[in-house]
Amino acid sequence: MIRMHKESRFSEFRKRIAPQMQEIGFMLKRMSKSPLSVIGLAIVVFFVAVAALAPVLAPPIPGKNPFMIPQPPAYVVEPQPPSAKYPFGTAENEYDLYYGMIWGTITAFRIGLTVVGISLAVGLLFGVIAGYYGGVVDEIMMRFTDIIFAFPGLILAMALVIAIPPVSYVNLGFTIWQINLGKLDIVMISLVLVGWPGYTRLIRGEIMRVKTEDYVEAAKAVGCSDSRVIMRHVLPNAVYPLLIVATLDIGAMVLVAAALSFLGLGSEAGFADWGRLISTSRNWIYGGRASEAFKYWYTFLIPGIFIFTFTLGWNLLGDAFRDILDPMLRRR
Amino acid sequence: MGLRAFVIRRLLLVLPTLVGVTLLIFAVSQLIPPNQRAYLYMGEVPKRADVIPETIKKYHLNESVLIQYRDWMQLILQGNLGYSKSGVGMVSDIIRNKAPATAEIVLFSAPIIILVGIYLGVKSAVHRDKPLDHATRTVSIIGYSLPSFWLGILMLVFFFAYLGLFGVGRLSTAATSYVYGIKSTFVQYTGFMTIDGILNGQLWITMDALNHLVLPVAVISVINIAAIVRVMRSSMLESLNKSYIIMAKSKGLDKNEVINKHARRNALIPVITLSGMMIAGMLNGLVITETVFAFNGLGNWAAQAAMLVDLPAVLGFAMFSGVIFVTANFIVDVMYAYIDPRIRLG
Repeated sequence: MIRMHKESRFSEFRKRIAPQMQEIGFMLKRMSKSPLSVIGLAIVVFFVAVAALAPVLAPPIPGKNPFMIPQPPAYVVEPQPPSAKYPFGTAENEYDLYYGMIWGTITAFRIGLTVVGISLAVGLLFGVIAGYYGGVVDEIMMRFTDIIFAFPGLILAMALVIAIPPVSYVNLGFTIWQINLGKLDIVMISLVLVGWPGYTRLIRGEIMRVKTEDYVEAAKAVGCSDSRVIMRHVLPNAVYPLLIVATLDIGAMVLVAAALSFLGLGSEAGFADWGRLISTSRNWIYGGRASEAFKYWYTFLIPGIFIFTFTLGWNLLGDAFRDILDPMLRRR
Repeated sequence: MGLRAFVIRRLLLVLPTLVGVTLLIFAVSQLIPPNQRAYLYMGEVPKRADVIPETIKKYHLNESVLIQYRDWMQLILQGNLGYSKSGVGMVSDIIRNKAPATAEIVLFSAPIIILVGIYLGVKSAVHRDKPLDHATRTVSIIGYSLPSFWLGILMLVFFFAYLGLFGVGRLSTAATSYVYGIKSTFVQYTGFMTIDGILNGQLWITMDALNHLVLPVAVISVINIAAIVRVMRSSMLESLNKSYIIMAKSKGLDKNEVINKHARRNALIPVITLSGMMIAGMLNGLVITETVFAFNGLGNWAAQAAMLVDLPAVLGFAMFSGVIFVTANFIVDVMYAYIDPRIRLG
């Protein structure tokens, strides 16, 4: 009897998620037809594997922060070409590029997923409130996003990165809470502050589009609560464009973070961060000596390829989602 | 609603945004302790050490936020953006001096971006899923994923270090000493070296300036073309599916005429909106590009200032780019309404 009950609940669940399953199946089928999206997926999977296997691929020194690239005490300033000891060569000040690339992959995922995840959550919350309830709340929120949109993103992020203090104290009344932020945390906070309005706008627009649909009206008419209408009827139909943008943004955010690192505003020296490692390569490019032009090729080529491929992977994947999910283009 | 009414209504929306821009910059400045923030309030180059406590007292930097904002706004409205330690000068003066250099890059790259972007986008849409479309889309995605600083470094290595074709900086050493030398008779009429060279009858200065513009303009163009291609392609695809296109085709109109006259014109509208966004993309890109090529413009200065935690410089630059961006978007919206009557009538 109990088993029967379980089974029926399972089949009920299966019936309920059948449209979603069909959708996923449809997505996979469409994706497999486009070589570009397969490449995108492969790239992302490759980087996930590198990140997961980092402790094996590049074993850190026990007891030390694995994200700090080991540096010999008597280090050489000049970059070293690839050798048995350093498969990818070294950056300025004998930072092992191989180690930096491997652990930098985790840093890239950390930046991309954290920034996009938090921006998405904030954007979803504010976007749903603004879109569903409209009126004054909507007006205030949209004016607020207008202000952040009034700035070119990287420039605002630059200002925030240098303004956000590494140590701050929050008085909770009964105790004083000390917040210590690493340089990378500051970069991520800045990117979230710059990034959330985009998601808010997007989800608000989608909610406003969906909420006038007949099935939402019907749900309201039969007396569903606001939260039920939002969670069950509005959001599932409004969330797809957000998925596309979020996928594209993971690459974009890593790109912006790398740009900040390149400008010397990102992580500290020696941190396993692609942008940081490429930034010193600029110091070794001179004019007028053609024979030595490519002498330090590994310092800019290797980190550059990692940043580029990572971003490319997410962009291809996002593009695939766009083509698959765009109702104007699909099933044609 | 006529165009004039639309412009006025849109202008009324710009003003609160500009106030918002100042509010946000002010909020960011509040994250910094008063003794560093004091530089934001200095009306002239500080000459004594006790000027900081004086400024803190004069502008009530330890008092309520409202009073501080009021005092700060008075300075902003006078055009005073504070003192830049790294630039050793007033922020507003530095912006004025360096803006032409940056504007020169923008003026050269904007036409390239728009024309090439639209051309490739249309071609790609018309030949959807054909080799040309795949090639364009691939290149566009690559352009989208390419870190601008990396592209810059690669170009630097190849064209500057290896081939020795193009220089870094804004002018060569010889040209710099000719233009900025103590006994120089070179008059900077516009601040644009390419134009001033002609006006002074020194064509070699113009050529030298152009030589130094090639690489930054190339990087800015490649990075931004990708976005235009993408939007133009999808907008053109949508346009090609409209019933009036099918109608035009079915009544036997020439294919090129349908594409160029009927489809492309309507497809251009989203691109106009995007060109406003492009200004932001360019400002972002300029910070990176100018840094890579040591091009002495606003972006390079802002990047240097940020590295030295020179807050007034970075905030001043951020505010400047915010105002530029808001203004550009206003102009774009007006153009949009002018072109598409549905916007102003709807």
